[in-house]
Amino acid sequence: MAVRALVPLLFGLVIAYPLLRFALLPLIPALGPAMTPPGGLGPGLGIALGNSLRLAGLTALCTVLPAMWLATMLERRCWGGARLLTGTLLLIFLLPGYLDAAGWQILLASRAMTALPRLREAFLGWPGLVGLMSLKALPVATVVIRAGWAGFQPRLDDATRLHVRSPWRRRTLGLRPIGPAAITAVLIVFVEAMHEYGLAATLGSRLHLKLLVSEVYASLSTWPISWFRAATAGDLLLLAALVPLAVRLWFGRLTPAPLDQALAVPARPPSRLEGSAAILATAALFAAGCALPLTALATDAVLPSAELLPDGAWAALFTSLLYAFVGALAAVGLAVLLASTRSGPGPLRWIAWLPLGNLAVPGIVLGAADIIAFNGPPLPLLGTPLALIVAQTATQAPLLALLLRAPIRARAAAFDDAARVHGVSWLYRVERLHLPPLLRPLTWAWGLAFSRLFFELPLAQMLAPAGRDTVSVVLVQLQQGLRFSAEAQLATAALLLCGTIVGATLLLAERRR
Amino acid sequence: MGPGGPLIPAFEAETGLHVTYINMAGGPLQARIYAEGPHPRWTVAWFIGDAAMAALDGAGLLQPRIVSDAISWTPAARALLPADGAYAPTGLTVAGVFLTDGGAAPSTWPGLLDGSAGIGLVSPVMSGTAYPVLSALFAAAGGSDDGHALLQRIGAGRLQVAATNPLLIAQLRRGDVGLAILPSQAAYTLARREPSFQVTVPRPAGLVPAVIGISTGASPTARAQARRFVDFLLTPRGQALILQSTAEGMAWPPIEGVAPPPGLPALGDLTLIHPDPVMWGGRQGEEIGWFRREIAP
Repeated sequence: MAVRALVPLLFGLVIAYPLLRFALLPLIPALGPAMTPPGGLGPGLGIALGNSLRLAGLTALCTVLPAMWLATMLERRCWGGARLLTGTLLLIFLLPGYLDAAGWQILLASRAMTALPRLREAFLGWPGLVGLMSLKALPVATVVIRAGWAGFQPRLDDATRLHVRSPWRRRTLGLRPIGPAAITAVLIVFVEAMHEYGLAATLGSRLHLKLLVSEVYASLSTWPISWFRAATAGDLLLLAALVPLAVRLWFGRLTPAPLDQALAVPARPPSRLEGSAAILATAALFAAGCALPLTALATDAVLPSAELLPDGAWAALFTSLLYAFVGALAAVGLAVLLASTRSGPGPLRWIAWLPLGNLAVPGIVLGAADIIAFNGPPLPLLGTPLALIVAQTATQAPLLALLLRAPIRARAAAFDDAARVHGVSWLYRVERLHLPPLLRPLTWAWGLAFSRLFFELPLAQMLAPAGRDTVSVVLVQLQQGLRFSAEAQLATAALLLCGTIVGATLLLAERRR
Repeated sequence: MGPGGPLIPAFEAETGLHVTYINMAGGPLQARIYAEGPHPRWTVAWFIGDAAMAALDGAGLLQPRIVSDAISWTPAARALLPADGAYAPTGLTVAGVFLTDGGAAPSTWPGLLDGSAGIGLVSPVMSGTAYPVLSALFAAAGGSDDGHALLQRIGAGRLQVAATNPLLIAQLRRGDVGLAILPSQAAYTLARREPSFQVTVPRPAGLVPAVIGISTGASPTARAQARRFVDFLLTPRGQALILQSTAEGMAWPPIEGVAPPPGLPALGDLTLIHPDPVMWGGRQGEEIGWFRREIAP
């Protein structure tokens, strides 16, 4: 029991230590780096906080209802386009924000868009920014809410049908079981939108929005570098995430209902209206989230003036593949440990959830925090691949822990107890009892982490050992060097590679379901 | 300085030394250097902008006298050498040139006040590489106050601020702005690829070098090897390889006997000023604060 509590605690502290140290920097400046250029807090963080809250709140609100509907169509309805919709959501999720923004930039600069000034202005204003951020958030929100539907049991459906006469009331009651999942989705979208940088900094640049995330980037990337301002802005991001996180944990406590997929409500065919709307929505999502930006990028890739890829571009693909593979495995492992922590005294359990803070801050904060923390004793990891893998694990594990919490806690504990009483070995219990029902959610979690890490930028830029650039670093260098067609070629190859690996893995997991 | 390309393998083949090369944007690079502080993991730092390098020198992070006396500098490059020889120019760029998509451009900074087309500028609040453009503009306008007045007279209606160079170029392409103020290497790279774009170097133009420095924290052996790398870059072969290898290849060579890349005007034909790196570097926080308050957050 003690070991089960201590292992996640230890991992949690190692993963949380850099961020904790960075977060305390405004209070204890001695925790900062020895070389601190002059610079103070400066004005404007309050306005940035207000703008960030507004943008994240709008994005979360605009995402949750469509995600609930899409999750319903995927989990409770049996229709031919379900796989297409899943694939579309996966593609939207795979396309990193900076490539999405690059594709939309090409589109907005096209003659077709110049002829539609009002549409273009909308894209470059609040509607476009919130719309595209919601679009990017839709896959994660849908996956989270699907997990909620998966736990819905037929006896609840039967009881509602028996006792509630009004069809409308039956429907609203039927939505209640996915309430906690919907709240988790809102929380994740809200927190991710708070620190989303690619779209907000590019498509939102015309709005001149002062956002917390851009304040962090500006403080760490313009001279004089201000650790103090960056850490304060990072603390505000943490605080802004803490409130919805507390709400989520409270809701999680209220609904400890076991999830048993064998008892899940069977899917039924959609009505004609539902089916048509779902097909239209899939087509619209595919166009806006993948086809349009990818076509724009691919068009640049095959221009007559297309340039050759720079030396090392293919090696960068392999490097990203390796880091993403190991980082995603480590993140899933830590997430399982975190999500299964239910024993131990209260404070220990809360400390074990400290790494969740990593979910609330942008990668560049973690990168800077890791450099400060790992540049000397007691953990001199900087310059080794381990520094990047630890940071990657820290960024992905919290989200995965939230996603895996329900399926892991729904394991039939009684089977484990019975097996233990009969002297069944730990390895056998894991292989035969625990792994089979968790194989699908674990594979999805791995795929999610892998695709995010494959294109991850700020950590790779700051922590990757010298001489081993990842594909994201090369892509951004090509963009900064105005080599757009080479960037498009490499991006297309990277998307194909990442999509094939994740798609094949998920397909295998679904077949073994 | 962009992907290593053939430059690093050529140096390794010539010297037998092994180089580990990491590419980073200027801002995160400086964040990393300062975060590593007394335990530096780097031996050589190489980027555009002598103000940031002068600041590293001021913080005691750079080894003095890193270049040999035998190098035959061009007059423009020699004027950029710091008194303690703690860093060396490896290429010369102009911080702010005017890029248009076929339209006419003024030949001076005050000429920006004429006309009604939008003028694009990258925000120094968002991009670490944009401050040299701003400081060169201010220096060319006659100083900080005159620079502020020039930007305010252009007015919020005409001045469009973008987050990055690629975004500003996108604005120019779609006609949101008629003229973009960009670093010369970005403008000439684009003009070489797409001839419809035209580059005008204003009078005066602010000279900003790509610079290289060596860490004081490196071992004596590593420092000696780093000096060989610096010397290699300052040879005709090294200069040719920089042109092939890095994103900042469209720069004027700092040494005699090497022709500038095709498409660049002769440096002698330009009216150049060199914004004092120590003075303008020291004012960066103040000037960015002014820009944030008065022009765009």
